[in-house]
Amino acid sequence: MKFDFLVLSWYDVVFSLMFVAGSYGLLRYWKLDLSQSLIIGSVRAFLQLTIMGYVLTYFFRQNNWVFMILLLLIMISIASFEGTRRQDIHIKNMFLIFLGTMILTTFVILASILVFIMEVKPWYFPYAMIPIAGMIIGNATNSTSLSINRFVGELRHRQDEIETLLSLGAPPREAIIDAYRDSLKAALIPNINGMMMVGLVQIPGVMTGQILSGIDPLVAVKYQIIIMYMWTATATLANVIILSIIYRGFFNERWQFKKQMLSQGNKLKKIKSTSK
Amino acid sequence: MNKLFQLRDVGLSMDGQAILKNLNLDIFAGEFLAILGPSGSGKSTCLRLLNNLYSARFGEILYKDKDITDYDIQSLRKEVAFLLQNPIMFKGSVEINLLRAHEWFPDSDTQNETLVKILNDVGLDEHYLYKEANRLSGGEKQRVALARLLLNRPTVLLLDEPTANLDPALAQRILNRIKKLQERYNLTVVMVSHDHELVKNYAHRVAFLLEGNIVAMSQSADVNDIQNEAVMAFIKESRYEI
Repeated sequence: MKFDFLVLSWYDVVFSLMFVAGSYGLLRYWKLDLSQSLIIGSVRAFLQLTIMGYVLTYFFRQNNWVFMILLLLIMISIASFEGTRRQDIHIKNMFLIFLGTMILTTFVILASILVFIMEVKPWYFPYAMIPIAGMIIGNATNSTSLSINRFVGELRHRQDEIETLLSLGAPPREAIIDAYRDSLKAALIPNINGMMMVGLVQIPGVMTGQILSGIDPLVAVKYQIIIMYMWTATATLANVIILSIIYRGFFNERWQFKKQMLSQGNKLKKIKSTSK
Repeated sequence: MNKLFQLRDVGLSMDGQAILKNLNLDIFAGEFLAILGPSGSGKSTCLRLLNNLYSARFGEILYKDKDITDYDIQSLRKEVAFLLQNPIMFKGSVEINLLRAHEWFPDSDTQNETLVKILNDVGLDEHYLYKEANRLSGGEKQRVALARLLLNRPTVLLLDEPTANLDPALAQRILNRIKKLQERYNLTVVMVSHDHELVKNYAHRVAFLLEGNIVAMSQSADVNDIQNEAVMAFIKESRYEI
């Protein structure tokens, strides 16, 4: 089912600026310090999304698996850089750890979806691969950033507990197990709560997009369900991998806890020492 | 007496600051050694070296005439038990707390009778086994933490100001208990404290640690006869760790 009125022209987009104009007028009236940011935000959204549209159109025309893999690697590298940048402490080889986690998670989840569930042919069909990979990578980056920050916070909070367990002969894995569990839980709760609430209040994003482009709501529902399960699996896998790797960095081979890594000035100090 | 630990020119610094400097100390098997000193003098760090929670940056530490780093870390920590100043209780009952610390030692004797016996050793009866550990008083928690260590059948007890947060009467009771345990199990005890009056009833020897170095060693528990200016000033001015 397709409706002609669902196809938008650039005039329609320009006309939608009336929303921005209305908001701008209200902000000015209430003398809010946001009107300039509103203009900049609106222009940036327009430019960024338009460029993205042209870039995607170009990528979608490339029917070449090598090109698609390279594109995935670029997306993963940018996400890994962003994930590393969000940490407030220095963890050795953090970028490589992020990169490895993202590659493994994306490969496992994306392959499962494309090959076994959607049965896309060819498997690198850009219209399926790019948006799904984008969702996997974005979700994994946000979720792992959250869990690592939480994990570092837990380690800071539980220093005496960890030292007590180590002094009793516990291996590092046992000493941090509660911090690990709490961090994993904190990272997964948004996904699990999302599944609890979906469909009760609003129509979720993917479904909205599909319905607007004229797809039968029951088909859109199937996509939405698969995507929500995919998000949960992505978050679980990425967090289990990354936390299982990074906790080791907080201990040496004599099972000693490197507490100095937890000081917040650690990242700054590292930057200073490497710039000398 | 046999030398159990030998610390030779041990140095350690953290964040560019020297905590211990050329520290030399012998600890004899079966003795009760007190380490006194003001806050920041390196007392707790010294204990952490013996349990290998920290490693010396310089010098060497021998345990039973063998370099401490040559020991399997798990068996060393089982043998050289460390009681932190603030006892940490894990979620759950006292029984869970006692068992939790032995999950990684499959050969541990964790039968109910053994747990009760160990609790009795530290002055708690069997009803405590099922009490919520985090609801216990400070003194009770300290005793549960001690019982948790004793289950490992250690040969050395390292005590980091074990009575710092307790009232004087309770502090004495805990130390009396530790002294009895030392005699019963032939333990070597190394206790860090800022209170020379408290340790004099228990320690065989007292070492004074100032600015990361042992400046004086008393061959008895009475520290008043030490003729060292820094120590005399420390005692006189009562610049004790709070």
